[in-house]
Order: sequence, then structure tokens, then C-alpha cells
Amino acid sequence: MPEQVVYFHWPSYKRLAQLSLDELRAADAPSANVLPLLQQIDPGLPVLAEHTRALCHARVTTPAAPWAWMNVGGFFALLHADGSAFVARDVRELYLFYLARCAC
Amino acid sequence: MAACACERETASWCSPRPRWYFGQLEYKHLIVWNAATGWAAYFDYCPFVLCVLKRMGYWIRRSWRPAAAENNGTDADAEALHGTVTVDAAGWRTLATPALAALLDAVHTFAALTNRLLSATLVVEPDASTRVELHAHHREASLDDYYVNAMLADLPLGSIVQYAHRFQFLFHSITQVRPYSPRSPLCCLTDGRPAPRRAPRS
Repeated sequence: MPEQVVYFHWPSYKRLAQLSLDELRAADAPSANVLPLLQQIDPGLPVLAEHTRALCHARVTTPAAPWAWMNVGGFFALLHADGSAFVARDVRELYLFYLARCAC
Repeated sequence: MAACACERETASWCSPRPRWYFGQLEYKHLIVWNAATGWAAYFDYCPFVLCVLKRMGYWIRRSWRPAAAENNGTDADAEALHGTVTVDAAGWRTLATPALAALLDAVHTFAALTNRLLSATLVVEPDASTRVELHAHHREASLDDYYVNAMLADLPLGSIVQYAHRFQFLFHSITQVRPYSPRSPLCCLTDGRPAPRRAPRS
């Protein structure tokens, strides 16, 4: 779905290569680059976008699986089913926060 | 806001639209990170959204027709061609539903995301980059996810839902395409041989 939109609005769009592992481990690595690796570490957290109801996530997440990532317009957050949202400079901070809160 | 308040008498439907598209394209520059509070906005977004909704309401309620001296047909043709207006046999123009839906998509996404970012709770975890261990296999296995995430981050705010509403009858999932493709992605799982195909449903 995002591919359709990208090439409709931006036919000459070229996908950027992923950063090297050393760059990804840096403290200032962009969230868009780091988040996919966190998805590998914990695949249970879905990534919601604007067309998958990231902005009304209480209807998507459930008490059984209350946490989700948000990626809308290049802004990232950690969402909870109770309607709350959490932001940080680095998505790894959000991931550590999630680990501490979910007690898993 | 001054830009919104002006042109009250002379504005057309086209006046709020490029202003809003500018907001979509430049959104990343309107929201800034503050280490003490999280995301912050350079502007008061509530009056801006209300102003745009007010202008939309004005045009939704009206039909209009240019004076005979101005009606050379080109403007009406261009607007109808772009799906902005519908023109009846008498030449009266009304706002087309797709144009209204596109702007509503943008307004809703803009307001919802701004509210979400400004009301979110700031999380600070020291040394997160070293406490979360990333390995090479995480990077290699996540390349497909990375491309999707990078595209989502590159797209202007609201453009995905605008596209989804405008082309709602196009395909929305690769699962629709795969059963009809002679070399489906399943070939990767079967050593290059075509994947077994199900009998067509009667």
C-alpha cells in the first residue's frame, strides 16, 4: 500500500539503503531505520500507520494485545489500548519502557 | 492565521486547498522536538483547523456559476477534469465529493496527529542505544520492514488515506495478486518451482 502512494505522488522515488549495523547502534540513529530491527526482536508489536488506524488505535489494539507502534508522517510513538501514547527521542527508549510496563 | 482570515470575499475553493497541501508537505518542519517536553508545535493548530473547516463548510453549502463574460469554459473544464467540481447542464458548479473527501482526510490526519504528539507522554530511558542489543541478523531479516517503514516516513502526512479513498477500488493487498501470478512469491519457498495452485472455485 505505501508503495502505491509513494510512486503515485513521487514516480522517481528511490528507496534509501538501510544504514550499517554500526550506524544503527549509534544513539542518534533515525527511528525509521531502527524500528524494523525492534520488530525482529519483538514481532508481537504491530506497526500502525495512518491507513491502519494509528490515529484511533483504541479501536485496533485490544486488552489482550494492547501495545503497538505508530509511524505516521515520520513521527513515531508507542501506543496503548487505553488511548495513551508515549514518545521519545529514540524508539529504543520506548522499547525499554514497553518491556518494563508489559512485564513479559 | 492572517492568511486564513484574508480573501473572505474573493477566495475560491482553490484557496484553502494549496494552503492545506503546504501544511501537509511542510508538517515535519512545523513540529519540533523539545528534550524537556517532547514534541512541540510552532503554531496553534486548533484555530487553523477550525478556519479550514469553516471555509470548507462555506463551499459545501453553495453552487456557483461564473458571470457570462467570465465563463469561457476553460476554468470549469479544468476543475471538472481534476474532479474538483461537478458541473450541471446549466453550468452551475458544486464541490465534488472526492475533493471534499481529500481535504477532510488531510484535516483529520493533521489534527489527530498533532493532538497525539502534543499530548503524548515523554519517555526517557538512559543509555537505550547500548541497552538494546542490535545484531546483524536483526538488520538482514528486517530489510523488507525497513523499506515499508521508510516509505511511510517519507510520505506527506495524510497522503495515504487520501490515496486510499481516491483509488479505493484498486488493490489493497498483495494477497489479491498472488494467486493470479505465474511466478508468485511462493516460488521462493519451493526452490523456484511454481507453487501448487488450488483448483478454481466453482
